Amino acid sequence: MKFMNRLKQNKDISTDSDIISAQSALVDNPDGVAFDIRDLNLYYDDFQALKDINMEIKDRSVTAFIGPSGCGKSTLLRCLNRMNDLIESSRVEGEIIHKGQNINSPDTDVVKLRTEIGMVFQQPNPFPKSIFDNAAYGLVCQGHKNKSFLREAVEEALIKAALWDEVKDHLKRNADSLSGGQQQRLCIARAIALNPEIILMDEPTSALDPIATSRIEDLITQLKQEYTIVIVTHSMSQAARVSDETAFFLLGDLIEFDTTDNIFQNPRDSRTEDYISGKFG
Amino acid sequence: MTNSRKFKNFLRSGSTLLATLLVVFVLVSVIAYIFSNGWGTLDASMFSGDYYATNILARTDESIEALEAGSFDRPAALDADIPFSSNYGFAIRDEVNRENNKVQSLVYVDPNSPLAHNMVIATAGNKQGKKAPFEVGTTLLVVDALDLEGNRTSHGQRKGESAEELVAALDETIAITGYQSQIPGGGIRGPIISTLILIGMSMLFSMPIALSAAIYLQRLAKDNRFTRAIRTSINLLAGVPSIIFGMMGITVIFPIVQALGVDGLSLLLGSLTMSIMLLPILIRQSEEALASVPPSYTMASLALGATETQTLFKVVLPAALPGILSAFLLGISRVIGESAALIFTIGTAVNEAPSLTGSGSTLAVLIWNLMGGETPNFRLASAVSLVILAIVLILNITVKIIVGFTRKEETKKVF
Repeated sequence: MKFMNRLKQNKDISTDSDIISAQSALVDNPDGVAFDIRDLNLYYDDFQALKDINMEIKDRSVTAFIGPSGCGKSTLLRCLNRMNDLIESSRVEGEIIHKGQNINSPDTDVVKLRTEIGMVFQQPNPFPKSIFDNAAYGLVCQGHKNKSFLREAVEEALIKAALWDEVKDHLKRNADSLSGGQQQRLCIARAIALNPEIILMDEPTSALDPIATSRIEDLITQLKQEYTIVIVTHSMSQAARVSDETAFFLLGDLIEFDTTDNIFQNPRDSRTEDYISGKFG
Repeated sequence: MTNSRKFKNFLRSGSTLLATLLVVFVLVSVIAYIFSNGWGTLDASMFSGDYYATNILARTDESIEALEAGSFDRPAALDADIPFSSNYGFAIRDEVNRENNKVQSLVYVDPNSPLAHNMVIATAGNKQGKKAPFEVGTTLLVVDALDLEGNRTSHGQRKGESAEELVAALDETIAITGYQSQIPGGGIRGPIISTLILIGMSMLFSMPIALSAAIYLQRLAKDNRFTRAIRTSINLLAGVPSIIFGMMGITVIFPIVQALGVDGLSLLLGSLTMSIMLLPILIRQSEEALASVPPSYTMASLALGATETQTLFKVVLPAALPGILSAFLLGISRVIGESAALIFTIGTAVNEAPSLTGSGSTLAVLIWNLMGGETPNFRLASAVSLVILAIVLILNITVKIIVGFTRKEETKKVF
């Protein structure tokens, strides 16, 4: 009887946890918010790179960070998957709420966080390994060994990154042999393979030619159906083309954050207007 | 362009070219010297032979009294100027052997010669009690024979005779009763094995430690006073002369090795000393190899949710492999070329059958040894140098092939 009680209790508990997880699913993205950034300050030693940033980044949309060099847009992007941890001198204050958790808290599992939030860098940086190994890298690091699983995951990621048709016959070739644009799409595929929720892109096309750039931009438009994308860009036309919302930064301050249409057609702040009209930058 | 500017230009490019060519000239002359001295000495028996000569004191066994003279034909292939004994069917000539001694060396023995038969037995030395027939390559010191009157006579180099005089004298005899001969030494089998053992053990001890230290300094350590102090000590240590490491080995490492039960000078002691000597160079080289890996690989790996350890083993170390292998190669070259630190720790005497716990002499120490005596043996030393150069060359090529192979493997491998 005792045993049955305990079993019942266990069952009750499990039902509770089901409810909790259902709730947390709601909390996951309240009002479709991927990141809720609250009073974020970031310092490199004594230099303050980000000042009191408050913003909400929407789920399943493309958010662009624009601003002149040194405005803190890339720094903010790196805060979103804690890559700033790698810079010894950096110190962060404030909160970034993601799925109801503050990712700046010391309890955060950074390794898990980074599998959920993928990142694509300015320079295409595939590993000096085969195309297959590059795409499978994240999964292999998570301990996946099943070859057929890996093959399927790699194929799916490469298809999503619009690279499959070009490389399917030579997956064993070294990734160095690909063109810059292909390498960047491989880097996107590498991130997608982990099935992340969010992809951070740090000026992903600045090292690419116009044709490769337009392919990446098309890809971003496709990917936003499934993923939240945050992109840092120097090209205002790119921000206008691919993003739903745009944030303008200047010297560590978030000057204006609105829908892309509003930012580019009727900016509220004169500094935003000056920047997008090319008066400085 | 004015003439003076043209002239200055010519002077500048000319002088720099000359300076560069000087290096080539030195390299070519070194190799030419070694080749001209050592090439003739180099042969297959040198790699398999003993370093020390074996003396044979032989006489006929009990079954027969003496080896009677017969009549043998001079083989057609034999050079006309080589003395040939038609009584006993062997050819012998004067030459200078690997050990730089004047000897009389057997160049031909007729298969039917009584001396080629197993009727001669060694009575002293290493080969005591064993058959000691005449063999091509051995040197003859003295031959005891019976002359026409049946009196014992002795002939040969020991009696101050040349090969020609020996043959002429023997052809006046009726039988041979015994002889003293020598299997020539100067083989370097022992030193080659010692060198290989030393290379293997030194790298086995030093490489893991050096690589770990390099990983710590390059990837884990923060840039603070402590790290800088370590770096400075490593750089200073790299400049310490090797003979001081040798002294350190005999005073510091010796008791440790002794506690392990290995007494006296040994290859173990030598390889431990060498590993400590190699550490600073290997650490610096490995650190450079790790530093040459683009940080973007690390960033990419971490951003994909790999741990620091996975990043190190899956991305950084494979990318640094060529550099690490060249550090490895540099270490091996240092072991091959080292003599000062080894003289104190492994000894200088050649060991014909070296083992980890025994003493020995590496090729470099052997050169030191050969050139150190009252009559330096340039020819054998040059031949040993050639062997060293060949080993270094083979290692270089092997590492290049391995690097090329791993590069290819990387692209072939599918998880």
